Amino acid sequence: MMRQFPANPDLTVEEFELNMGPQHPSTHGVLRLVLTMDGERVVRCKPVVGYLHRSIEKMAENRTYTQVIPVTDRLDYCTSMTSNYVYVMAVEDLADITVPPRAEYIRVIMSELNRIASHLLWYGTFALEVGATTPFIYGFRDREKVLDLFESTCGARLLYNYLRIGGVSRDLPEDFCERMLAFLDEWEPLIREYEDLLDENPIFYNRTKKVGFLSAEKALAYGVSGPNLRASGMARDVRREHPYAVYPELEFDVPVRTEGDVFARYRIRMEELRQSARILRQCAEKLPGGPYLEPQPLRVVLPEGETYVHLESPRGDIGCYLVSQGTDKPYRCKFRTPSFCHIAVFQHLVRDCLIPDIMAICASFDVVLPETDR
Amino acid sequence: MIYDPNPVAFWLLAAMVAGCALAVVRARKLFHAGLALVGTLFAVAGLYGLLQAWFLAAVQVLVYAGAIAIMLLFAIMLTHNMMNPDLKSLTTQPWTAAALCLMLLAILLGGTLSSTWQTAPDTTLSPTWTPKCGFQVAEAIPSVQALGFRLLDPFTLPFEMVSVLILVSLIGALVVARRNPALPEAPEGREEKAP
Amino acid sequence: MEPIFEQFVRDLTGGFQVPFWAPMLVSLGLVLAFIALNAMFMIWLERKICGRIQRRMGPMLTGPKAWARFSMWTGGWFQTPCDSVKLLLKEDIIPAQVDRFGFMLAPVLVFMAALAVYVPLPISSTSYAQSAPIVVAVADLDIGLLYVVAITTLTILAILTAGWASNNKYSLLGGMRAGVQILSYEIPMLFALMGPMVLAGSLSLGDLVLVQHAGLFGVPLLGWFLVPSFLGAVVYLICAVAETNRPPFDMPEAEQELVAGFSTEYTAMRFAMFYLAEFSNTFVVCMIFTAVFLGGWTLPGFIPPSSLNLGFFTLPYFDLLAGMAIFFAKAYAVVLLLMWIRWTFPRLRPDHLMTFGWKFLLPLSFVNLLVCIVLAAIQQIYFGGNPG
Repeated sequence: MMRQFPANPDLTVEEFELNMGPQHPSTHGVLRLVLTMDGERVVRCKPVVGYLHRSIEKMAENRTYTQVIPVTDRLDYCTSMTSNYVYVMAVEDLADITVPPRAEYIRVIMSELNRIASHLLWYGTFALEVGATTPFIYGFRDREKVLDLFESTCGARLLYNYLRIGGVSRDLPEDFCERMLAFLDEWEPLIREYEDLLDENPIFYNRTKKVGFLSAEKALAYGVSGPNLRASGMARDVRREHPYAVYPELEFDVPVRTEGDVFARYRIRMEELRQSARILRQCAEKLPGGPYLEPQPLRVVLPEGETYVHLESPRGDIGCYLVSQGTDKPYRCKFRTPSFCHIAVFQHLVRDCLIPDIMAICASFDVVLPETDR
Repeated sequence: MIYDPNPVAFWLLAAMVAGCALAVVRARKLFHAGLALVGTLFAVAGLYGLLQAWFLAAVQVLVYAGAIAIMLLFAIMLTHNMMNPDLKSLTTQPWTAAALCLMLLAILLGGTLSSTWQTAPDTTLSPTWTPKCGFQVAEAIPSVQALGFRLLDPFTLPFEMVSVLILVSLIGALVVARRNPALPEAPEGREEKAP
Repeated sequence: MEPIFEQFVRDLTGGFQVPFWAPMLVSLGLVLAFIALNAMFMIWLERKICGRIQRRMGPMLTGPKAWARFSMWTGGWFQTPCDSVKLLLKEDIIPAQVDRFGFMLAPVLVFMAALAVYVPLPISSTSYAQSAPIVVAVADLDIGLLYVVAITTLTILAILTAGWASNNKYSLLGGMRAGVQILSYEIPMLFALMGPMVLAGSLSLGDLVLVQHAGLFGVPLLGWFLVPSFLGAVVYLICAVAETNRPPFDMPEAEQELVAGFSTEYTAMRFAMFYLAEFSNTFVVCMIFTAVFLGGWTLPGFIPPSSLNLGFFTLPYFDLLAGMAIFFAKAYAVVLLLMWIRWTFPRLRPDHLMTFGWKFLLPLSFVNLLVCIVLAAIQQIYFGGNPG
């Protein structure tokens, strides 16, 4: 698009299109951003998604209810436990299955550990986007310890396939709580170290303060949820508003900030790390004995009906809408994922930004493409 | 002091000057012409070095090749297509142009070879120069210091005028490069149809 | 350098007179060898420091296993030669649509600049107690400082050419960013170096070092220009990091945004040229910092004797060797500082970079110049200082 100088029509300024991705070292997954640039500033940004579409929802229609669980692993592979959980919760809601209390506690422990792992991954990649290479290694080093805990429980590091309809697939190992508490004791002071590296650094400050401002109205209009919404001033957390599992019995704070910029989103996730540690300690204390699974028949048949459940994943509000027609396979299983809405609002935040800002904003939103494309 | 430069060095540098100048005029891509211009300026700096004007040589590289030529290259890169199409020659009367150029060459050569060039008096301040460490350093002829003293003593007024001139051009550049308020702003993002 | 080389050859061969072109060729050979070996060592060091800061070990698998088992700092020393061989063996791809002349010229130019900048850098000198010291440099130019700054313009040229010739929007963006960055930071660098120039009264790097040895106001300990020109030293260090495109100023090569910036389309040996030139330039700015601000090869109050008597064996040229050892120790200390900075800080955004350079560093360097002028004037009036 050309613009002319009114005084001298022969002088024109042309915008040019820059294509970022789908293969790019920094977009989180296969995201394509079509940027229209005026020099160094972005005029328009059009995200193109769908490169990672694997028809998970269609696959779910051809599998029995238990067979769908490994497929939901791949929905958001950074928080596989949560993806499992939302689906299993939907099935249990529709079938009116009660889960034993030990299983509820185990599920919460796994969700919060997964939150820590996901936020550590986010911390590493966020710092890497901004240019600091060292926090990346720090985040991943500590994430390894969480993954060790997962591996001892369910045998996998990333795609757990751990939850089952009616509970979890196997019990926690004998020394799980000791090891988890040992990890928390060793790691919680390190959060301070992570913050020290970045918080007071003027370079980091200048790159994240007042960058990518998201107002509360726009956030609500686009369905933004999770830490991104809480950074814009709205105190919404599914664990508080529609509590599930044992969250009503646990004490934790929900951090909220009003600035709505990249720095606010960063600070909220760092605070959430501490809150997750707090929840884990309470769970370790209160973990009851008893069965870890309410055994279900091999072929689970659900009554006719539909339900929608949602819970708080590290990215935001993830929901599952399940429709059953009385058979052993779901009729329709739709997942409402937070990253989809975040990418939609993201394109409106990057107007008049420089390319490095786009990276910082995209990283601060914690968008994962598998969740967006399903 | 009479200094006899090495003729091989002189002819090499002179060939580089002439060759690069020819390349500037004859290059098919504008960017190559810019690079050839840089080559010319470097060779001229070499010639200054041959004349023992070290400071001038360094400043030639620093200012001409390092700032002016680079600005030229920026301008070339930012305008028009990235890979320039061939530039067509715009000359309509090549023989007249050649004749005029030869006449100009004859006048310049005649004038250069027949005149007596006036040089400044010997620029040594003192035969040996004593730095602060207290002992003699052999045979240093500090041309930079000579230049500095000359700038402050007989040539103060031109020096000050040049600094005023630079200030004026700086301010002018700032004014020219300011974002033009009359330029229409980009319209708000229209929704584009999906491909 | 010529007197020392001729003396050396005469000592070795008993009176052989070298032809006039020999010292030049020998210097060229030595500088090339030094660039190669130093780059190897520095890349290994960089990876080890990076590993240490990130709480891991860095390269450990190459080289004899016993060395790696002994300590983290002795393992993996064979990594860089292996990487160099790998780079040499890679396929040299020239994309079809690039401008061939510019594409092939750019690595040559950047290496020319990296090589040429070694000329005035002094690493040692003969004993400076009695007679005039002869400085060990390829040629201790009268205009050493100015020459060094002038050669950085060759680097800008090379990067611009690389970015343009690659026929790739990302490379063009990277090349222009790099060019503008280096140009903008050249000016505060020049002004920061002017402070020591005023204090010493000369542009020659050898003279700067010798004046630092003499001391400020008669006190040798205050002689290092780090003290009177402290602001200048800080400004120079920041500008040096920006000039060599090192993080936190590595926006032109930012992997996260531009893949590899202006060198995206380069493979194998051409890429190795850019990489080598970057490491060589890093070391050169550390050498300049050492020579100008840290007293070069001198230690306050210590003058090495010209030959050391070790009882059974006299070591000749001890003054040269001691000077070189001191110089390289200081230079590597500065290199370690630069590496530390690299792995700690995030990257500056381009407009922040420009604002920082023009609006903050440049006024700071003016202030430094003023301070140095005042100190030089005091030195001259009360302590009998400047020549002429």
